[in-house]
Amino acid sequence: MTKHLIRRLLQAVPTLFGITVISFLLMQAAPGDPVSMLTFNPEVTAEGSARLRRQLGLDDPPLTQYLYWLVGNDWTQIDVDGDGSGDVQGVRKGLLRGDLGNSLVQKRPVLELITERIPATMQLMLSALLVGYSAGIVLGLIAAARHGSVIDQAIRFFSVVGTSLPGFWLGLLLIIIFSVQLKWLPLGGRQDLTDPDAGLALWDVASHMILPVSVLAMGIVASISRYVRAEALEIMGHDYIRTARAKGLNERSVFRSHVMRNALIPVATLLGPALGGLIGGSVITEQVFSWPGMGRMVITAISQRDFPLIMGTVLFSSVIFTLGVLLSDILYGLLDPRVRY
Amino acid sequence: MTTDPQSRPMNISRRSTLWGSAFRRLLQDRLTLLAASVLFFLTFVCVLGPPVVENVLKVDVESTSVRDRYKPPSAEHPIGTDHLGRDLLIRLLFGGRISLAVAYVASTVSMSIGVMVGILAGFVGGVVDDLILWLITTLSSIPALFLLIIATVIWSPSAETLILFLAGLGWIETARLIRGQTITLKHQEYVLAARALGSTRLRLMVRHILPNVLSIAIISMTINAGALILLESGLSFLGLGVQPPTPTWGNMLTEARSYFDRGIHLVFFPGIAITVTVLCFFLFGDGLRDALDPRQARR
Repeated sequence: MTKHLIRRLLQAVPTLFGITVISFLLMQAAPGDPVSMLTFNPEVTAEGSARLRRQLGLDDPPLTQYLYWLVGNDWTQIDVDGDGSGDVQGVRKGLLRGDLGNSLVQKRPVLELITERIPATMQLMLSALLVGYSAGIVLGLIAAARHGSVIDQAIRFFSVVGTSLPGFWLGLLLIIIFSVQLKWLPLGGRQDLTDPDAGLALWDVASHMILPVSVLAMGIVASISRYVRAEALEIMGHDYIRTARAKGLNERSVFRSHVMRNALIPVATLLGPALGGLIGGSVITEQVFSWPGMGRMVITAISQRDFPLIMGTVLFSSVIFTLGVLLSDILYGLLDPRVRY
Repeated sequence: MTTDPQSRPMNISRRSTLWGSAFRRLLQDRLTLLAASVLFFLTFVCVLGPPVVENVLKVDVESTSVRDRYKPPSAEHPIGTDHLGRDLLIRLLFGGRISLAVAYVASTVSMSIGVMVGILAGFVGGVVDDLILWLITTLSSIPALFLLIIATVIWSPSAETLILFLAGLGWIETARLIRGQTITLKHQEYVLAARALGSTRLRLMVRHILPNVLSIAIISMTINAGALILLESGLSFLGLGVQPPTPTWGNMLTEARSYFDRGIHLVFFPGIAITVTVLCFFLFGDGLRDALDPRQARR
């Protein structure tokens, strides 16, 4: 098991490396570097901007730029005045030491901006994961147990429609129904649990979460319920289920201790795809509900063309995603005793 | 393969082709047929609707009217008008052209790339396979929406380039599936037999592997089409897709978002159009899977 764990962890390394390469290439493709944006400023001379270019390493060959971006340049001297010898100690710490650069607009470290937004996004994503998984499992099991009935049909219909709904449209409809017409729930925004003014206003916190979490969880409910149903139905065709019935177990126990327990194991493998859907979905959901998380920050950064911030968030999300897939693989290995390495 | 007409009746040998029997199974699957007809109908009206409206009915599509803003559905405007007094149904038809073009073109292109890359990786193996698999894993580790967002921010695409971008993302999952299937197939005896007869690698790939992965490719293309429509509409919603005044279902919703208190029809109809189209693609894909691969038929 440990051996497998280490091998699986090592497998993630080339992927993570690939992510950094693609991010770097995209950043290179972005039009206009920070210095060329300054050329319209009359106070910046040509010589000044050349100095700045050298200081920021923009004239270095791409491979050097990539290396400095990855491991930092604080171990080198930068040749600022262009005479061939180093003048200034580099300051960048590099991606591997958590340096994602500075936001062009907010003039603060990208990592700091991201960590500020993480609690809000995690709050949404984890709630959606929890709600989505529990509702999906319950619905899937009900559908399998009542195979062929009207309930089964309804759940199947729901799970197909659920994957076809554009999240932002569902969000808009929910807002129109529950916030505008019925006025039961707020239009959007987030009530911070740690806000001292909020006190024990738990309902206030929850009421802001109901709609966005439902929208985010929708896709997960749909895919999980579909998967669990198919899995449970397949298991019900196995010989050991007939054996369990033959030895006199009632339907309830057969379902509970033989079908259900086996059907739920593969659900762990869906964690990866679910996480991927959540990361993309949270960008849109946060936008619909004005939720102050990472997704909303990215959209703002896009409108301001703040590339370091955009790339930082993408990198960060991709790494989280890769680790999530890793986790679901490992989890599956732990849960299913048949998987031996 | 030729059969002796004396020893075997013709209809049996006809029945035994994969595509023929799949088609017959499809004809019995009413839900899939319904999905296919809805898709056909939507495509039909979105392709033929706009020229008819422009040339036969002589309606100026972009004509705006202050007096007709936010009109609810009526006889004159079957599903109402938008914030500039434009007829929503006409806009929906025009938008559908783009959204459906995205679905058809992007999914076809991505299927072709996926099949080529998948067969190449699976059949050739070795370093080529390692490299392609690495690319696939890496690209699928970056959330698709993010990749698209960055690409659109950097290159602000037109509708055509956007379709290419979507195709450039859609092939990844297909290639993974095809690669797996190719690896299974290449060890089968008929491939060995063909190789023994002196087939070149190219011929093996094209004549012996390709026909056997085609059913998977077509199923994944159909499902991809639905997924790509969703992705495109999400992108439009964020203001990064095809730009107004060119309507797409996604950017119509974005516009409607600012005015939804003036009438729910503004939000309702574009969304329903997206949902129904995506739903039909998914259902059709499911039906195709059942028809082409009866062993895995859904229950």
